[in-house]
Amino acid sequence: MIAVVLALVATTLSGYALVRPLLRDVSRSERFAWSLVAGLLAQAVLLLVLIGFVSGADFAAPLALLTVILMTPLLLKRPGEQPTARGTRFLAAVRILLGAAAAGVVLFGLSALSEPMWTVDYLAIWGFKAKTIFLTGSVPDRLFHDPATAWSHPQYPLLLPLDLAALASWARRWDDRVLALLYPACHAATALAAFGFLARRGRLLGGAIVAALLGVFYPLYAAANVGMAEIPLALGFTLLSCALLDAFDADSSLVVGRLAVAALFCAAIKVEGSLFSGLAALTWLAQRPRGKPWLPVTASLLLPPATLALVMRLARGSVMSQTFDFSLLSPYRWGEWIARIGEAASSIVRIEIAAAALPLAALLGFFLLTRRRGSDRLLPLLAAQSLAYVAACSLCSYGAAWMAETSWARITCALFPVLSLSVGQRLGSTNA
Amino acid sequence: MRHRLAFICLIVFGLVGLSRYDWRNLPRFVRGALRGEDASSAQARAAGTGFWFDRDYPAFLEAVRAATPPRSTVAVALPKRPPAYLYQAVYTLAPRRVVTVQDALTAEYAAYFKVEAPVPARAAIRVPGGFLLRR
Repeated sequence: MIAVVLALVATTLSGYALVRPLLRDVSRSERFAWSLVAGLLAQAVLLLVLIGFVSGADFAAPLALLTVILMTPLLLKRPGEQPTARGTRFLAAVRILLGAAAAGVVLFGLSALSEPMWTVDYLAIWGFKAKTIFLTGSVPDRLFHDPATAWSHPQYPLLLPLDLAALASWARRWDDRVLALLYPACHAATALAAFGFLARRGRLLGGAIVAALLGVFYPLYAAANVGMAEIPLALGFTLLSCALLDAFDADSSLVVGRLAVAALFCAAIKVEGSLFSGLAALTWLAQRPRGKPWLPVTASLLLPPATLALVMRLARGSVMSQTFDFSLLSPYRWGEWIARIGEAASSIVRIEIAAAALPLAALLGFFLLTRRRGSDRLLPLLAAQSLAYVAACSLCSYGAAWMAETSWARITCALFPVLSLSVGQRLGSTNA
Repeated sequence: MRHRLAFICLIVFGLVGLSRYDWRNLPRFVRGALRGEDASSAQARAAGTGFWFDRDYPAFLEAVRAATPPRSTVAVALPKRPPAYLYQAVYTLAPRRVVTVQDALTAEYAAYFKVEAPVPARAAIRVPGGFLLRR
């Protein structure tokens, strides 16, 4: 346990050292989230480099050494760095809400750490790949091309398996209970990112309310989602959305850099991350303020996923997905495809929407009762992403209704932290 | 009034989120999280949620794991439902390559669990719930 805690602290510090130049205009709580994300990206790269040089070895010492080397810039005080405000006095209500958020994260942490990770997707996809990488000290070709495990989504990117393998390398053993610490860390980072972003924009109370809502958002932060990609992906979505909203209001190379980091993280976690980056680029192109150059933000959202896709293609060759039947997109099968879209949509409405009718109605009521704000720019993006998930269900080889019932709600829940930014901005501008 | 209603909506949303926590299992979560190294053991895995479908299965997988080298290929013949039988085999036996018994020609070992198996030509190793053949 201590080794994995140390690994997570070192990961965050090394990430901070890497992205510190991009974080001069964000709050301290956002810095933690950005540092964790950058650190997780760095750990995956370091592990790949080590695998490239000394395949099959014990990576604990070299990984720790390289991480410490990455941290060395922290010893230098950056000239011109603005000291952060310390000891900001919060309203009692803000403190209570932040306490509720922390309690929510602790409760999730207890459920995550109560037993070794066990969810089906963890066993079949993420844990299987991570354990294989850790125990072989390599990335075997069979992870991508073995027909016997074609159901393990060989087309998925490897950031999460590499990070789990890197954390296990620090601990020098595969402990699938302690590795779950990554998940409460991502939960805390997501709540802190949303709080910090909203507080920085003058919505201190709104930020605290949102942090509390995220802290107890147990449809996502549940034991049944530990070991899967959605919780880290929600963190990536949140940071990308914060940076995108910053891009609407500020001309800054820092924002462009942050967008690139978040887009890379999202794309490296799961295919949905690349989709989110692409839709965020469309959102920017459709809504960007007059006079703002379109290229830097668009490029920062599209280039990292495109580069990652190219690198993966070069490294592992063509990998076919068994999960989706893309021949449904051929004109001669459009009739069948449309029927399957209807089947997926009907299943989602009958089962998922019906089961979540009360919270959805409450959320709808909130949006109807409050005034539009700048962060509502994200709403079309969220709607498009949710609809794309319906389309993905309709293409599933195992049946549209099956995927709608088993996956849609879970992957859509990962979008709630982004929606919460809009909720927070609609709450009055109460400050300390 | 609108502000109050909006806050009530958020409170309802938050309470529903809170109610989705698995409160009944909270004492088990606390015990498990505070158990330390013991909760990470193979026994803890075997008793955990991951083997809800068959409590005999972890002993079989553990025996196959102990009897096969990490770089080998193991063909498994398992009950078809639920698919978690296969996923648990692939995960628990990693980094061994696991294939289904239909692809057994490429495997050095074949492991049978709770399924009808051909009478082995040579002596098989008995493992809990089945047997293991070296091919």
